Amino acid sequence: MDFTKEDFDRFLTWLDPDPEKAALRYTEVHHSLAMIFTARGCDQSEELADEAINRVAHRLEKMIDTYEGPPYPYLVRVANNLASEHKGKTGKITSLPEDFYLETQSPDEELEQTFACLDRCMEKLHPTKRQLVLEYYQENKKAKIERRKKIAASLDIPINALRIRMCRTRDGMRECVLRCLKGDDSTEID
Amino acid sequence: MADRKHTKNDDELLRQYLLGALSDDEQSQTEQRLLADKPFADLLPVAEDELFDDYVSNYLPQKERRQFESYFLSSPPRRKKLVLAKSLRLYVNKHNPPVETPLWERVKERLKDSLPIRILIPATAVLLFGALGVGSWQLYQSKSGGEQSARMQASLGALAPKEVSDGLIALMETYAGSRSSEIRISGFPHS
Repeated sequence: MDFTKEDFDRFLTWLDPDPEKAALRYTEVHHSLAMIFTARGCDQSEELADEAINRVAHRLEKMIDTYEGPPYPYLVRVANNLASEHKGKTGKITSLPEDFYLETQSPDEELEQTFACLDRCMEKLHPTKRQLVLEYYQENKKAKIERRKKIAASLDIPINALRIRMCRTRDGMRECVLRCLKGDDSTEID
Repeated sequence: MADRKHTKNDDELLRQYLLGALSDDEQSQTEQRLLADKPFADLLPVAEDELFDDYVSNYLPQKERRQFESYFLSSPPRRKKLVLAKSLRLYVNKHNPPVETPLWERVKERLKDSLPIRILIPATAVLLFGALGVGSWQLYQSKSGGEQSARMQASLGALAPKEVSDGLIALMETYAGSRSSEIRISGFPHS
């Protein structure tokens, strides 16, 4: 679908009349759309987020004068339709196909290799950060919340800030492991 | 849309959203909020990671486990993330052995999954009181039996040699419950 600069500028203004805020909002909306598509079980979430924004921007010229309210309900409707179309093309996967493991490694091999890469990546982590990961993810259902509150207090940050920080550390570990599994020797965690 | 303060219910809402457990309206409202409220959106990947961890550690209740396996894991990238979650669990447990949950807590968690709590609590209370009652009755029985032996020993000890008094006591205990009416009239604690 063709998407002109005028369409894009109109879309940004629709998100927020202030150009600087609009640019930031665009990034946030794109990121959230990608998460929504992932949550809906779609595997090409970034591309689908692009497509959703393209469709909305393309239609905006005709509807902007009559549309009332915030842009988000309309964005969700478009995302909804796109997710349904995508699943219609690719088919919704509700369980692993029977021949899934014939073409790939066995689950044990995959786990073993992933563990080995994680071990390497964690060794490259700063000792303080590594210790934080060990404490944060220590297994104990009951004491987990209290332990994490103590960690947050010791770092002088709110508990949600700690949760988000650990989530980002985990993303870094994930990227490092993926590089390692592809044979990339750099095991720095971003 | 103005940012709303994060509440504990937001975590549960995001969890149910990820498990596909919301109605269409609730899902739509949640997604609108994900687009409009950045602090709320920042918690979605956190909720996702925590779901993986709860699944790997076997903390998910049965219903959520089913939803996790049938809906949440339907996305191939998430299946890859599950392998990493398992690896992370193995790594942490290797370097930091898990703190053992007390046996009673583990039993309670298992029972919560299989029996509704409104049956579990009264049933447990009835069993406990029943056990206490039976235990008390047995304690009373054994205590009165012991006291009776002591009284018999005391009354006979001065009158007969020990072997004779021991034998008499054994006879008394055996027939204590089956005396003829004449003996009951006599007042002796034996047949």
